[in-house]
Amino acid sequence: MRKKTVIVSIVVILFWAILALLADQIVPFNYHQMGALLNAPPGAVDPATSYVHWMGTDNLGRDIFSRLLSGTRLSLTICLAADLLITFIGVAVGLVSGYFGGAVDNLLMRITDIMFAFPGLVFAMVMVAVLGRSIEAVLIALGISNWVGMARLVRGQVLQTKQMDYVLAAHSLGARPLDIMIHHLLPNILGPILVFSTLIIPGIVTAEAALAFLNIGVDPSLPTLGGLINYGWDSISSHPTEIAFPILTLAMLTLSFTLLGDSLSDALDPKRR
Amino acid sequence: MVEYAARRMIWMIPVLLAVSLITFTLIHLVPGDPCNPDPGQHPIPPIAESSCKEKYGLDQPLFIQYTHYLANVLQGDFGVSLFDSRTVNEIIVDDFPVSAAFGLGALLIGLGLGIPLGLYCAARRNSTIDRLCTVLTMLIIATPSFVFAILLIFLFAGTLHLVTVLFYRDQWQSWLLPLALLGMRIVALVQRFVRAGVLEILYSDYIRTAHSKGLKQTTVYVRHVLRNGLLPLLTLLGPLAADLLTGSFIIESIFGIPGLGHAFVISVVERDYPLLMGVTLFFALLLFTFNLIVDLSYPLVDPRMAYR
Repeated sequence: MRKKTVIVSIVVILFWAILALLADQIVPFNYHQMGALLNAPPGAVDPATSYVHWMGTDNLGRDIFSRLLSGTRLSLTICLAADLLITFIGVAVGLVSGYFGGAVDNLLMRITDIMFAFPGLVFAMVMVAVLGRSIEAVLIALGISNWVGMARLVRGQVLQTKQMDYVLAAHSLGARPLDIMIHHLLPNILGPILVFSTLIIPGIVTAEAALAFLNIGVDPSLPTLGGLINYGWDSISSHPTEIAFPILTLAMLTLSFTLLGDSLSDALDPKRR
Repeated sequence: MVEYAARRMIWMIPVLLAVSLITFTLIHLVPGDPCNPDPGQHPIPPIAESSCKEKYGLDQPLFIQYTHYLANVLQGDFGVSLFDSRTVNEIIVDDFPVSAAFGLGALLIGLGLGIPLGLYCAARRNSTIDRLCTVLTMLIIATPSFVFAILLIFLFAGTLHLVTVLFYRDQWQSWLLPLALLGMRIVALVQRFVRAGVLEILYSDYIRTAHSKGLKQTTVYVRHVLRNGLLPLLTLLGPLAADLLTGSFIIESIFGIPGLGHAFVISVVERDYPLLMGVTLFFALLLFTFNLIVDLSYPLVDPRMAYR
C-alpha cells in the first residue's frame, strides 16, 4: 500500500516535472503569445493555423495549456530553489548552533525565536512587498521566512550526534570544527535533513501559490500556478475551465509531495513503521 | 508558574521590539514613495509631496521616524493608515472582531468535529470510515485552502446558488462558506492528531493492565485513553492558530470579508506602511499571548510537565 503511494506520487511529480521541462518542445505557443481565438473552450482548433488548444484559450487568446506548463515550470523551480535555500540556511545555522553551544547557540536560538514571532506567511509577504515582485524576491522571501524549523531540527540532531565517540575521536585527532561539522556530523544526520526538506515542499508550493493568488507573488506577466489561478478567478463564472486546469495541477502536485514526504518520514522513522 | 509567566512576558518585549525594528527597516527599504507613488505617470507637485511627507513625518531620518513610531505605539497609537480613512487603531478595533469570530468559530468546528472523528477512527481502526477519513483529511491538508475555496464557491454559489460569494456581515448565510473552509482544515489536522495520539496509547502497557483488571471498555476509554490521548492536543493549538491566521489572509480576501487578514493583505499590496506595521505587531502579540496561555495551561492539566 505504502509502496504504491510512493510510486504513484513520484510518477505524478515526474510527469509534471518532465512536461514542464519540455514545455517549449511540446507546445507550439509561447505563454504570452496571443491568438485570434478568445476564451475558446478546451479542444478548440484555430482555423488559421489549425493548432489545437487542448485546454482552450484565455480572454487574450493565449493558449492555456502552454501557460499551464510554463506556470508549472516556474512554480516548481521557485519552490525547489526555495527548498534548497531553506535547507542551506537551516543546516548552517543548526550545525553552528548545535556544535558550538553556549553563547553562539543562545544568540542563534533567540534569532529563531524572533523569526517564529512572525506568524505564517506574514514575513514572506512583507519581504515580497520590500523586494518587489521578481522571481528572486519570492524565492528569497520563501527561503528567509521558513528556515527556522530546519535549523531547530538540525540543532537537535547535532546535539545528539556530537556525543558520539567518533566525534570525540576526530576532535582529539585535531580535526577543526568545520571539518567535524561537514565530514562527521553532517553525513550522519543527512537522513532527517532529507526527510524534512521533502516534508516542507508542499508547504512551500502552497505558500508560493498563495502569494501569487493574493497578487503579492511573482509579477503577473510571468505565469505561475497561483498566478494562473488568480487570473482564472476573474472569469470563473463564464469560463470555469480556465481556472480548473491550474487548480487541478496544483492540487495534484501538493498532494503528491505530501504523500511522498509522509512515506519518506515513515520509512526512516522506525517507530512509525 | 508566576515566575515562568513573568519570564516569558519579559522575553516578549525584546522579541516584539525586534519584530517592529525588522519590519520597520524592511518596509523603509521598499523602493517607491507613498507621497509620490507614480512619479512617471502621475507626478505629484513638489509642494504637495513635501507637505505630505511633513504630515506623515516621512521627511525625518529613519531612526527618528522609528523612535517616534515606537513612542506612539507604546502610548497605544499605531498611527494613521495611508489609504484607509480610518486610523490603524480603528481598523484593528473594527476588523479584528470579525477575524476573531471566524477564527474561534473554525477552532470550535475543528475541535467539535475533529476530536470525535479522531476517537472514532482510532477505535475502529482500518474500518471503512477510518480509511475514508484518512484519505479525506490527507486531501484537505495537502490541498491549498484557496483551491477548496474556489471549488466550493463554484459549487455552492456558482452552480447551486445557495449562498452569495460576497460577504455581508448581517447575513448569516454568508458566514457559512468561509467558516466551513477555515474549519475543515482544522477538523482534518485535529482528527489526524487525535487518531495518532489515541492509537499510540491504545497499545501501551497501562491500557492492557486496565483491560486485564476487568474494567469495562467504556471505563478504559473515558478514564485512561481519553485523558492521555487528548492532552497533547494543547500543543497543537499554537500551530493551529498560525494556520488559521494564514488561512484568514486567503479566505478573507476571496470573500471580501472586512477582517484583519484582509486588511493585512491590502496593506502589503498598497504599501500602507503604518497599517502593515501595526497589523504585523498585532499578529505577533496575538500569537505570543495565545502560545503563552497554551504553555501555561499545559502543566495545569498534565502534572508530568513542569514550567521551564
